[in-house]
Amino acid sequence: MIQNKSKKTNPLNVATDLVAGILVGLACGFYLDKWLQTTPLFIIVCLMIGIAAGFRMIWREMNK
Amino acid sequence: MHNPLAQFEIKPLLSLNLLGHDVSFTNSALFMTIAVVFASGLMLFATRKQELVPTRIQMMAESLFGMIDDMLMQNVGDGGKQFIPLIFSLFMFVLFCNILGMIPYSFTATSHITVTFVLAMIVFLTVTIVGFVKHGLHFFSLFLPHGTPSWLAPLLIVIELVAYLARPVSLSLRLAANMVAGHVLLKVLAGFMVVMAFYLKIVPGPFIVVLVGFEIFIAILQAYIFTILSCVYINDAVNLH
Repeated sequence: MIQNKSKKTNPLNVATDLVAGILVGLACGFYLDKWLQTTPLFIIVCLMIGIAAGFRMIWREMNK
Repeated sequence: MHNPLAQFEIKPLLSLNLLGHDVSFTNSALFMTIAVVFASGLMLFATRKQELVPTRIQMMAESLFGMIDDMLMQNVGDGGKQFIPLIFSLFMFVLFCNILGMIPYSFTATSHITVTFVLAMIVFLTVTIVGFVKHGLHFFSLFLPHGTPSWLAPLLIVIELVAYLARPVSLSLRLAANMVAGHVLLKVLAGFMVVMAFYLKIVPGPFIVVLVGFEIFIAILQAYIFTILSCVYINDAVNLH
């Protein structure tokens, strides 16, 4: 009965994994851009990597 | 109308100033202090007289310790014993902070991302430093799982690196978001009770009762999830999966 509310079924936890990946990707891209002066290139690339990383975290969580 | 976010305001209770920085004792600090006092008081009181046939409170302390010990044994194996103080302290602190937030008119210290981010960074830095000390530069093999085709390897390493860096963010954000969502929902429903017409005033009542029960469950569950994810990250560092 307590297994029903395991950590897999709480959608807020899954959503925070995705959001955290996106936030870290954005932060990395933004600071890389500020350091290297190449405006929006790194933001876009790192945002896509961040989205991929977020999905990878969710995938690994679901397949545990 | 009541602002449902006003409960998360930080109010300084005792204004102190250290070399130009504001280090006042706030209501957040007060509740964190109360949580630490309760947690250590409980453990100290329970282990005063160690009897072979344990009293009830000694049994409670022993079962808490046994749960953390089992968690580390299952997730990390034999190398996990050295992390019991860290994981136990984290678990007790987060648990008591969450539960103290359920008292009416109190303040949930773990609802602020500053608090949870520091806790998550403690775990992340410990795990990374232990990984580097134990494995040296071989620690970077964590980012390349078995059996990936070599054309995929560079992209996968970058994605794994970002996912590794996103771990403290997700750990902290999960705890803070769960606490904030629960308390804001309770405040919004309570606001409905104040504003609604006379014959509808009683309707949100049962929902609030059920939600308070659910919130207490979520408080304990989020403390458990925080701890068990820390154990998983320790396992990743100590035995490179």
